[in-house]
Amino acid sequence: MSAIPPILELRGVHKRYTVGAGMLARRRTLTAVAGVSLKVDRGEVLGLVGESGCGKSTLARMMLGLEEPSEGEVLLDGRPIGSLGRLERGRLVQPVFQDPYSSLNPRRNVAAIIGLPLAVHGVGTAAERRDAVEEMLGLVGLAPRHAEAFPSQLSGGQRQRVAIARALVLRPTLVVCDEPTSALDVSVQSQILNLLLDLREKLGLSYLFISHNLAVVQMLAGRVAAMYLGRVVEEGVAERVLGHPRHPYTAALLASVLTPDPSLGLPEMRLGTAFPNPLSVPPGCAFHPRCPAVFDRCPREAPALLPCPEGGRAACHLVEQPEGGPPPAGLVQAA
Amino acid sequence: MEPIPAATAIAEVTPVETPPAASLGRRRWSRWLSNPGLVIAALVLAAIALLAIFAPLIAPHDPYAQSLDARILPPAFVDAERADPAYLLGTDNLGRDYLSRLIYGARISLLIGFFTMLVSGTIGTTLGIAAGYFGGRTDTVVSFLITTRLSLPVVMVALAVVAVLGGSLEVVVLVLGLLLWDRFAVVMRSATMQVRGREYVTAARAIGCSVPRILWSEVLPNVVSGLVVIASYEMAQAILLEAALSFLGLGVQPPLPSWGLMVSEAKELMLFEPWMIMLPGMAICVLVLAINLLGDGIRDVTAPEGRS
Repeated sequence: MSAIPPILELRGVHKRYTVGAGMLARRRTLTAVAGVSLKVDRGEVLGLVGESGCGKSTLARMMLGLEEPSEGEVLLDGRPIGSLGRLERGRLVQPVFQDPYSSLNPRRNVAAIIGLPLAVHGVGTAAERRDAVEEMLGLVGLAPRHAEAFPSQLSGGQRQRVAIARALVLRPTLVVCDEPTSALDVSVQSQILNLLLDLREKLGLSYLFISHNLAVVQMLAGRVAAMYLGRVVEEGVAERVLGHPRHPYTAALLASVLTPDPSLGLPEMRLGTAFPNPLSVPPGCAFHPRCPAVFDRCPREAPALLPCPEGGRAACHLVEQPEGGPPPAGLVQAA
Repeated sequence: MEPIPAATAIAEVTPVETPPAASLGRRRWSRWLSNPGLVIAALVLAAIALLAIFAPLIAPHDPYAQSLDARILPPAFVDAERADPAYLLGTDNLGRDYLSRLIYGARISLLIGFFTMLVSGTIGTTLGIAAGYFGGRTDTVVSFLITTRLSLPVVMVALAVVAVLGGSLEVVVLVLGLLLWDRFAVVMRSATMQVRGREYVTAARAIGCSVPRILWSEVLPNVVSGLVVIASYEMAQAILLEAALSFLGLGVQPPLPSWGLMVSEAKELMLFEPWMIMLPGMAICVLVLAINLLGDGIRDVTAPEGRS
């Protein structure tokens, strides 16, 4: 056990929302996050994958201290996130959002947007802040003349660079990237990813990188966690999880990655037509209605997230079976 | 710092025309000047405001000076034979100079319009932004207040209050200000709800901005275009209401020269001297139109989407 605590640790985090609290509607509980335990060490990049509605973004909001978990703990740098002041928290963790068209205040110019964290935290004099903004512009690959521009005058990629500059100007330890490239053109995506990789080396950052695009995660992440209906179903070193997925859901996610060749058509994921609904989570293993390898135990008993023989952890009854059993039928290996 | 190769590439491929500060300022002016409605409205309003401010210097006569020899003289363009060249727009039934009274009347209308808008705008914007940003119980309370206010008939309540408290300038401003905030609150509430969900507000929270700072510098600037339109509309509305109250004898009291009061005083002679009712009526109409045009123009020019 090292003395340095992980920069981010989640311990059994739950988040529940009450929905339909109208006059006539029945109040129902939506469990967006159901018992997630994860760790991000300093300097590490953890990729968080899963389809829309699986609780990735809710998890991100809790990591940023914008929402409190209903149960469990979020520790930033070894301390509960609720015990940190808003300024202290802001110096430890900063977000980069998906939509660069919505993440920049259209009424402020680039210099004011990047300078806002410095002004709020009272860093330096006005002149020093101007220099810091200019340095930050250089770091994210924008010209000094962009400082006077307004967001509406910039392209999507340039806006995302501004958003990254704003997140990094306080030199946080952890950056929570919530799908930072999915709103961008494919050609711009790789530029932004390269920029994030580059900045990580220069500034010694840790990333929590949320995406539904496995190709993007593969490029950046050292470790990967896959989420399904608010639960982590598989977690481990990126090469292991993406190369030899043990959970059928991770395998299906990998199979869903589009190939550049359109003649191959849409990939077959063998997930059936059941759509995940966080308002009515199936009993037992939440994934069993869609699982190609389902058997009688799955609807009865929820699998625990247990270590796999190959390393990492997976929550699947097939993995728990003693070794020598047949590999799960229908699993699609990554190409 | 070494520039990142990919970064310099994108900077070269899509250069953004960011002109130096001096020409940026000139461009902003040209945006304002290229909106004809805005320019006309601004000129008309500026003229009326100047007349109101410098009324003692501009008005040819004392607006209160009566002259029983010179009662109900028409302006020259109405009846050249009866007109007296000393009274450019004629005189009223007490022989007071109509032009001077119109000029002084602009003071009353502008004062009431501006201060009513200030009072109602402050109340409505505060309530609306609070309801939109905090939601939940705050929103329930504010929505209830708005519904309550909407169930009150403005003219009836204003008449009742003014009848009890007496019709002075201050009372009219206060009563109208306390009655006309609902539109501000409704529009600001829905605009704030939209802005609250934007990621730049989330980013500001993650940075550690205080709530007042978020409301003031992230939310308010992005709902202000709606605010300008409502403010101009409500200012015009207040001017019309003051005219209506004065017409009914419950607004500003004689002998103060208010345009509504002048319409009211002219109504007995409407069939014989129609110009007496038309001149203050036109003044009200022009002022209200100019204010509304100005509001629309400012919104169009300041919308960030329009910046290219």
